[in-house]
Amino acid sequence: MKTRANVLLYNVIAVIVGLAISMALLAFMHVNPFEVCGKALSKIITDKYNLGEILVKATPLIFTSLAFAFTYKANLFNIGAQGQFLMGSIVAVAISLALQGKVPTFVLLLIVLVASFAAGGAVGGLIGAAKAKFKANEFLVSMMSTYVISNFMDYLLRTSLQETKAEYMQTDAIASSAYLPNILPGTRVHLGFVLAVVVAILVSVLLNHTQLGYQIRAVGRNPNAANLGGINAGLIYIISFAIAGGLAGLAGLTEINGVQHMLLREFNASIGSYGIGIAILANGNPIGCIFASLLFGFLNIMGTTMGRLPGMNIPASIIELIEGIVMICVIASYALRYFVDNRNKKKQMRKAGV
Amino acid sequence: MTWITSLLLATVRMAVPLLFIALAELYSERAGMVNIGLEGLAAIGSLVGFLVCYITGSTWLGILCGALVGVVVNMIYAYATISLCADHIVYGMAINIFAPALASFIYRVYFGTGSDLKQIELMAGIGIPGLKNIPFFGDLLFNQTPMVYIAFLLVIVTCIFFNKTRAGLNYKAVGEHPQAAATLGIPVVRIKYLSCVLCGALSGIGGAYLTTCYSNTYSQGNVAGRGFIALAAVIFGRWTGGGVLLACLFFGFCDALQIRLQVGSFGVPYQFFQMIPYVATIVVLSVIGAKKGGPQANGKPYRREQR
Repeated sequence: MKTRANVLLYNVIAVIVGLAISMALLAFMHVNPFEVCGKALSKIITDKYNLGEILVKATPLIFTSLAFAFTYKANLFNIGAQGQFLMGSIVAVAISLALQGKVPTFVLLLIVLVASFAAGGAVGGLIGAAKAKFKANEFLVSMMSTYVISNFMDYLLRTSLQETKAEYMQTDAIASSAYLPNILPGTRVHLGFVLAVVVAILVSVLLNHTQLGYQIRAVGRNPNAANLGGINAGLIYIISFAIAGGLAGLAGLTEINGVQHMLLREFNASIGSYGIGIAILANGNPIGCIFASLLFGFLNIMGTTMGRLPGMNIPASIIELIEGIVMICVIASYALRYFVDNRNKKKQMRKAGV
Repeated sequence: MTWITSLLLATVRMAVPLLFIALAELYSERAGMVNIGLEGLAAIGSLVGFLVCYITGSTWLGILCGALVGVVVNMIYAYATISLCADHIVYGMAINIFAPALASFIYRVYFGTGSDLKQIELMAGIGIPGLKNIPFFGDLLFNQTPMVYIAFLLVIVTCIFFNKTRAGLNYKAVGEHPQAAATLGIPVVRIKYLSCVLCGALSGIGGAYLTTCYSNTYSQGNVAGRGFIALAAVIFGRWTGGGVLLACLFFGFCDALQIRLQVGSFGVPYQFFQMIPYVATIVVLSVIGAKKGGPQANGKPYRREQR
């Protein structure tokens, strides 16, 4: 328990250091960082809509970070959550457009839920299969699949899924009967957030308290030993990648049916890479992913609010930079903790030796 | 004939940035450092190369500064992975998120949010007298920008260094078995840092090539996965200079083909052509994945007192 508190302490310090460095960057831009942050913060806190936006932004990030965290436990690197998410989105919008008005909302959402999970899962499963069958580098294959899928999506947006006006590369908006219900009036917070939290808890249970989770962790530790112990490592690769892909696919449901209500080019272009950062921030812990996603959601809103402050001329992209810096600090803190622990151990051993 | 010539010309032009970035990874992995942050290093290199060239008007200065910033950013990775023994892949990923963000941030801060296109003068090609008049091959190999010659020279130098020199063998020993190398008096940590300097510089140059020799503007995401394709090229090229060259030419060819086919309009939507380089990478990785290869201690942290 002491070590867990220790980890948290290191994490919090790292985040604070990261934010401090970022604020120093603001000073670099000839604005007073305290003034800017104070103004942005007060704008967020006093506005219920803005507070809600934090949850809205965090929702897909929870899914994409879980997509990375899940395979991370099997010592696999799924950096293609973006592609799996896009596949989920394509399926979500296609089904919503086809079935809206014909079936009750609840049934429609349930179908989209299953289908977007399956779509992302199929992509993930294929990547896992390439790893299991051909020993292909899963990390590169998953990255490449993202580029392939985003081109595929562009193609669909030009052809079968394009809006009826056929003007822009985007789909028609889905009918309000296919929306995920709003849960906080006055904001855009939708049921997807609850779903994300529930799924994160389920993933945590799956990884830590079931046979499958045990097998995944065993394969992650040492695939050869796991094989000898009767676990089919190849199958575990496929299953864990399929589940990870499905998790990313669910973000398609929450973004299409919950927020955007249509699919367009460059759809949420960076939630995949943020997901990786968040999962690393949380050290692969599913529950940690929820909180890290909330932090990133907050930073995101902070960034857009700063960008809108009159007369400050701060680019909204500052947020990506802040997130990058925070990430680097947190990973450094992991390494540093290891380094310090190691040194302390050595000291103890030396004492014992004398 | 002209279609094929222009295709091959484009192949060389597309292969060169890949070659710089893949050689960067080769130098890194030969010392046991799996650096997957190439995409980010190239992104910041391409921005700085563009910016310096825009301000000073000198493409050479741009490329030099691109290399420098690549080294500086890669030192974050180097310190964390070599001195603090952090995970290579995780840290490379952090560089991939951090560096492109830094690049687009600098661009926005410098140029503001206006949408007018900023352009620079591309590096001029220099023909090699005599050789450039050889039919077909003359234009292909001897009438290019100096960066193309440098890239090919670098491949030759790399081959000689790793196979024929003592320093090169020592360097490789660090990637194969650092503990054994250390007992022979090879400065393992110093070589690992050196590998990161080389890797940062070469990927920075690869990125800067994109803005100073290939396209005359900077746009966000202009590296477009080349950092990852270069990683695949190193695996495909079996960790040798010559192999990496062939792999880069192959991927360069896929990229060139893709662009040519788009222009040609064959009734197939262009999006499918755009997939070619990425699909080719997936296929290559699947085909060659089964073979073992690469430096033995690749990606493993080196701790002096550990056996």
